Formats: sequence, C-alpha cells, structure tokens
Amino acid sequence: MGGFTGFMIFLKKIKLLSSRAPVIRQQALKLKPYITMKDFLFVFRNDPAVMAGMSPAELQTSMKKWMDWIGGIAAQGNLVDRGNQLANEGNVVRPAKVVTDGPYIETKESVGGFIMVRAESLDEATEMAKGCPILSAGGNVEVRPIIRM
Amino acid sequence: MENQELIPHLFRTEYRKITAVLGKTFGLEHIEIAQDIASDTFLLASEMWAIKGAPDNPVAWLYTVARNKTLDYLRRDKLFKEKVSGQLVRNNPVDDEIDIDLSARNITDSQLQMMFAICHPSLPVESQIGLALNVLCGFGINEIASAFLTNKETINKRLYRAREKLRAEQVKMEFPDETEIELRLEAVLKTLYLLFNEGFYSAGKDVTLRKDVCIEAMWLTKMLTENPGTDRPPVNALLALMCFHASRFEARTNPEGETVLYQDQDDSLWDAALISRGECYLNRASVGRQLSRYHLEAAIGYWHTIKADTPEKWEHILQYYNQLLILEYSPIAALNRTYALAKARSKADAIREAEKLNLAENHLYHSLLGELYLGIDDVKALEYFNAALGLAKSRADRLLLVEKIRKVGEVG
Repeated sequence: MGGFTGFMIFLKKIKLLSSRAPVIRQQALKLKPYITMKDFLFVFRNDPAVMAGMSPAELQTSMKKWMDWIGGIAAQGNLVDRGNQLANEGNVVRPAKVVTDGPYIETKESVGGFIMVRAESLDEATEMAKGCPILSAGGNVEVRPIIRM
Repeated sequence: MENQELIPHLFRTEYRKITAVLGKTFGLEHIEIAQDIASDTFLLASEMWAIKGAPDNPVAWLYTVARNKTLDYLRRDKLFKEKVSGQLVRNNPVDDEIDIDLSARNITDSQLQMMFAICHPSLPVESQIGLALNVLCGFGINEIASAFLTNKETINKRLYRAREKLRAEQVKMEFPDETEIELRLEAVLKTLYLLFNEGFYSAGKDVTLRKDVCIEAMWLTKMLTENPGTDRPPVNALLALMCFHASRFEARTNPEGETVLYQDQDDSLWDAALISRGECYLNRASVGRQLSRYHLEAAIGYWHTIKADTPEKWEHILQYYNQLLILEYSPIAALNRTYALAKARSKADAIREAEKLNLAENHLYHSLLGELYLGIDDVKALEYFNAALGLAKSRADRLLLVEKIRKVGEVG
C-alpha cells in the first residue's frame, strides 16, 4: 500500500483541523421536510481525567466507537451539525467581572463537546442518545430541544 | 492508425478544442454555430480522407479547415459578422482581420473556460451534464438520450433551455476570479462527478457508450489537474476516485452485458495501471487542510481495489463512510456504510442500523436487508429480495435480484 501512505499521513494531520469547521447539513434538511421534526442539542459531560488516562490504543478504539455512533445518526439523515469538541481549559466570567479559571479539572461532569441532531420527539432523541459511547465511560448526555428564534 | 479509427479518435480529442476556441471567439451566445462548424469540419475530414487518405498532420488539417470554414461563415453571414466582429475588434484592437487563435494556450484556456461556463450555477445540474456531453464531449442527441435513458425530444428541449438560460444570464467564457473560484470549481467537480457516475452506474445497456462517458469525465478532470489555477486537492481526489472505479470497468460486466457484482469479479481483469495512477492522484490530493467528500470517496475506492476481504479493509471503509456521511448525507452512502458495518462488525449490528434508515422506498434498501438476513433468516431474506424486485426499475437490477431469489430457493 505504498501509494496510499501519503494520504494516511495527510488524514492524521487533517483530522483535528476538519473537526473545527461546523457543517450545516443542508442535504438532511432537504430530505426531512417534516414539520414534526425538531432539532436537539446533545451535550456530552464526563470527567476529563477519563480521556487523559487513555492509552493511544484506547483512544483510537474510543474514537471509532464515537465515529460509529455519529456515523449511524448521519446515515439516518438526522445529523444537523457535527458539533465540536471543547478543550478542558477555559475561564468563567462571574458577576462584578470576576474571572476565574474554569473549575473543569476537578469536576466529574465537565462539558466536553456537543452535536445537533434531528428527531420527531424528545423521546426519539433520547433513544438516539442511549447509543452514545460516553455512557460506558462514566459520562452522560444531556438532551435538550432547541427552540428556533 | 486507419481512418475508421483515426477520425473517432480525433473527434474525441479535437472536437471540444475547436468548439471551445470558436465558442470563445464568437461568444457563448453563439455556441451552436461553433458546434456546427466543428461538426462540419469532421464531416469534411471523413469524406476527404476516405478518398485521398489522411494528411500528414491531421490535427493541423482540422484546424486549418475549421479556421477557413469560420471565415467563410463570417463572409456569408454579414449580420452575424457585424454582431460578432464588434466583439472581436474589441478583443484584438490592432488587427482588423479576424483571427482565430488556435495556439495551445488558447485551446487549453478556452476548454477550461467552457467548462466553467457550462457548470454555471444558474443551470440545473442535469442540464450541465447534458451540455457537457454535447459541447465538451461531442456526444450527439441520440447518445445523450440513451445515456440518460430518455428520449431525444427531452434532451433537445433540455439543451435548448440551457442555452437560452446561458444567454439570459449573459454567462461569459472567462475564468472566475480568485474570490469565486472555489465555489465555481465545486460546481464543476460536482458535474464531472455526476457525469462519471452517469456512465458508471447508468442502467443503459450500451456498455461502450457508458465507458466513453466515464473516459470523457476523466479527461475533463485531468485537464483541471494540468492547469495551475485549478490543480487543487479536491480535483486530484476526484480524479483518483475515478481511476479506482474505472479500474474495474472490464470486470463489472460479463460478455452478455450483465452486471457482475463486486465480490464476484475476476480481479485479474482490474486495471493495475489505472489503480496506480489513482494512488498517485490521491497522494497529490493529500495537501492543504481541506478534506473533501472526494478525498473520502477516493479512499473508499482505494480499499476496494484490494480484493482480500480482511477486517482491516472493511474497518477502513466503514470509518471513511462514517466521515463521508457526517460531511454530507446521501442514501447510497448510508446503505454502503451499513454494508461495511456488516463486514467490519457483524450482520446483527448492521441489521439493527439498517432498520433505522427510513429508505423503504429504495429497492437497494430491501436488497441490502435481504443480503444481511441471508444465513440468519432466509425466509426474511427472501421477503426483502422480493420487495426489492417489486421496486427495482432497471433490467440489470431485476436480473440480479431474480438470481439472488433463485439461489435462496436452492439452499432452502
């Protein structure tokens, strides 16, 4: 597979970059014109220590599980936005303009990322979230209907 | 080369050049006149060369004849000359003698500009493909109709409306500016991709014609890779994808013209030279920071050029399909992803995912489920194959399904 290695190296470099660009999936919007369909935000929370403690092989396995799960939602035409991952560091601005470091390192429920899906009801969206690999790694998924302004 | 081979060969390579250069000379609104002169040139060639034999430099002969025919036309049709020469004089203010610039540079530029004009966003995509086949590939109305599985009237109307639209929108033959080129190039790539698919997946029975459509799409894409302004990563990725698919052309139909499915193909018929050219283009595509759907589809195509049915191969294919779907949904990608899931994981996993797909009106959805249930529940498999047969339209698809149903019957 000599001819293919260049592409594999390219792919490794690009993975991080491409996940930054949110993709609005117009195709899916066209395919599912049902008025009953709503958009939902999935918010992923977990202890940042879980991912930090993973070996490269474990990380790769975890990545595949995530891709299979999101790929499955996308295959139904129900992925509205692939969302993004969030870095662990950050600031919180509090009243009186007090800025504190995000207390993320200590918390067991730090927001680590999000995606946006389309479903007919909160129940259906919740069913979708039950497949999320974060559940077997100690984390949780918050499912919230989006109210379009 | 004998005349009967030489003329079709030259027609393939030179028709679009002459049409593009004359189209640029006259302006896109007179594209039919450019096409007529190019066609007349080849007509004269076939008559003359049959009697006298081909000239020493056939290409130069064609260009000379095309130039003379153009000047004749301008002399005959005063009105047209006045309309067109105004523009020509603007283009060549020094020379008042009309010149037809058949330099290599202008030939290449004109063809690329023609490509951008034809793939103008104001045209529906099937019109873009029709025009590309007609103007850039020199396909006649009959050939286009049979490639699209429709009749001559429909194609005639479609091309007529498309030309009218180009006039109404005053589309010019020019390179889009730097700010626009990415979006315009995207439209061109989409059309070339669909043009290739038209040849590759069409249910039309004429295998030679379908192959010609694919080859033309590849030529046009290759031309984009040869120009510095358009030699961008997604273009190379698209060409790689085409090479990988086209490498199976000989293996995918049997001598009776029936479809041979991927897993049943004789891989000694796969074209190794095309595969390695595909690898080369895929590597050239692997720069920058843009991962297009063509990159992912080319990578899927690459893994299909490896016959051995390893879990590694299907794991890669599955992950590329996941990424492709996340980037852009399509029913066919959803179905193929589910097939890859069965190969990489298990049929049970794939059945669970397949049932969520909401594609019950698609015959391929039922064939996929039939395939997945084979060996697990043959009664169900048979039900799905029969449902697929009820929905399948093309003869080739129906033949495949009848064969599958027969095989399930044998086992049961």
